[in-house]
Amino acid sequence: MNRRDLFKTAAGASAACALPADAQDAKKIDEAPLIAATSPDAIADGKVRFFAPEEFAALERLSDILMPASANAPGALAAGVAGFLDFLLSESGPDRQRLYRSGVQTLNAEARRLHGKPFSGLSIAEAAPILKPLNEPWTYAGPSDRFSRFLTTAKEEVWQATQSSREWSQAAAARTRSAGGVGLYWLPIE
Amino acid sequence: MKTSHDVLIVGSGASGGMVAHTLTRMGIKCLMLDAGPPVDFERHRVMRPIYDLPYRGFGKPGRFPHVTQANEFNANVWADERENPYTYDPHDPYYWVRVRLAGGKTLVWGRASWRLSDYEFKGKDHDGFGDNWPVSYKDLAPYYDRVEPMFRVSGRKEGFPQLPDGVFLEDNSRDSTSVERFLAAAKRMEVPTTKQRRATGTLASSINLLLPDALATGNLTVVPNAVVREITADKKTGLANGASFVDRRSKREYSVAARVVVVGASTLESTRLLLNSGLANSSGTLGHYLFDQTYTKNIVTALVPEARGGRASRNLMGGGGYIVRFRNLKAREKKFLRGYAFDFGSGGTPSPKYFPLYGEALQKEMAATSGSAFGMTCMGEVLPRYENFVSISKDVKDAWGIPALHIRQKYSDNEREMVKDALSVAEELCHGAGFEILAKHSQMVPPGESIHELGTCRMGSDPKTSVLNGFNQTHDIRNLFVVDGGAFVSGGAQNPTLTILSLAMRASEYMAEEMRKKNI
Repeated sequence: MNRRDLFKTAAGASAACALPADAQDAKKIDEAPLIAATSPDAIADGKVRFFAPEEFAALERLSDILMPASANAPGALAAGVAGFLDFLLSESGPDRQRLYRSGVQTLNAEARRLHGKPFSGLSIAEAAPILKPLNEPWTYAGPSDRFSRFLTTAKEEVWQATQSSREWSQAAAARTRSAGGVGLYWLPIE
Repeated sequence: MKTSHDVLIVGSGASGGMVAHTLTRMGIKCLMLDAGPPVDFERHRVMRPIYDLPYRGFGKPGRFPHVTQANEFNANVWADERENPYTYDPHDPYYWVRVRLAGGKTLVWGRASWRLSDYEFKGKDHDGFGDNWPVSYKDLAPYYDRVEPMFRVSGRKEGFPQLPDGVFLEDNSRDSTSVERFLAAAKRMEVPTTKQRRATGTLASSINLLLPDALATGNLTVVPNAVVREITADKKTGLANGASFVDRRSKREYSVAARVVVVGASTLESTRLLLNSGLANSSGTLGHYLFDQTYTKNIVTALVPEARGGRASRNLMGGGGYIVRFRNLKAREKKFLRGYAFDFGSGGTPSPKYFPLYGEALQKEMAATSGSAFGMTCMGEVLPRYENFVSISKDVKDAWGIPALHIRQKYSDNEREMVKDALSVAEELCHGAGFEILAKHSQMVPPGESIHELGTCRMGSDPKTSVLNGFNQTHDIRNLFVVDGGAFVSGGAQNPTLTILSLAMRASEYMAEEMRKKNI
């Protein structure tokens, strides 16, 4: 280091040491950084509000059967789909709520009738006869009986809720370069 | 009273925007009122992961019972149904889809840009039903010629009389193999096809293509958040003399004066405004002849077998096109009048709902069929009928105390038979192309859902059976114009926006000349 640089450095160090603590904090007052935020889903379990415990357990088992985990992607259980649907239904209209509640109650009733245990305790093979309506061909009008309509609705919505989960997106990001599930969101326009 | 304006324009969408663009460039001072707020694309839109949305993309339950186009990403674009209610008979649901932002539906439209032909303008001459427009294709052609370059419409010239060619950015793009097979099947069946015709560009809206040029003239003042309550008229002369409006946010009431009033608030809002104002209805037809277009989404969903198992290459899949109306041109169909068209597209993965599987079996099938879908959607002409109409609701008002609409529209056997025929053709085309049909149906969406509502303020040569003349001028009040889809007499199967824009330009030039001659 030459003499000029030495003096410059010494002057700078002296100047810095001469700044009071207030002035250093003054810099933070002028800034408005964007704070990195985390959504509740990532760190907390949602409270179950709509379903009774056995009903919820049936929905969880159903969601796991409808959308199991695969080698590359999480399934509905890891994606917290049953908890999310419980929340969605707690805010839905009465028709939808009836469809789901009667649906899970029928799952449990049929499971007890056929196997003497609630739906949550069934294997995939044991559940198959109860889920037979899902093997019917698609029609625009959908099935006419309520239980079949519940199953076809649940199948679509479990699929959708899994693929729109954080867990699904993280798994996809680990596999590919695309940022899956990101869209252009319109904020409220006052 | 503040200054009276030359022209008051209600609405800033396609029609209002085109009127402003045309008149201001001719030196005429315009005041534009729009019910919605201005949109700032930088501030009002952010990229967001779906899992960060409160309802994971499902949307808040019950927020938009009638807007199937709404999703959780775009929910804040659509007009709130609680603030803007309407009524209908529960047995005949109507889906009224609205945007109440400056720029209107041009912010979100699908860009499809087709000309109408004399099969539409002179439909009565062709098959005896309904009424002719008071204009013909040759009257509007010069305006189509000028609007298409403004909106950078791409397409391919074909020479079809039922779908006139335009001034296009020529689209001679190569088709994928699956599309080529489909086109070959169509050719064997003598079904005409062409490329899509679309307004191109990142945004093809009033707010980037029309209003900036109008504002640059210094002749346009835009007032957003202005909900027009009624058009006012001079009691002595009967002429329109302005409007009263309410600030959307504060609910403060205002009035404004103008020499000429132009209403382009979108079909049903314009008619609602005239009905609430008690104007321009000596014919008794204001509100009547409501129609739209039949819309049968995914009439056929098929699979391209060669694309299964991860073989959906870019060469094989991708792209699409349009099937042009071919029914009731020369030969007469027995079961229905007029005709329909299809959009078709290759690529994408079918919805899991179509497969009678679940669990691991469904996941395997979805993986196997990834990218192998081929889909067709049908839009068809709806016959305009007097008994399909809107009126003012006796009991319901919007958030600003303005009486709401009661809407009545039912489809007829003509529409139902048309769609059955369309399904049969779609199936035959897919089979002819060697595709496997996964799902099919002939169910139209409810009236209104196509967002192509037309009529209720129709043009005509006879003031006893129409509201407007051939220049969108009301028969009853010569300084009052209605320039949006309400003016249509019939609609064909073609998306209407290009025609709305062209009619608005034509009406504006007529209006300017009438003002110059001091006729208005």
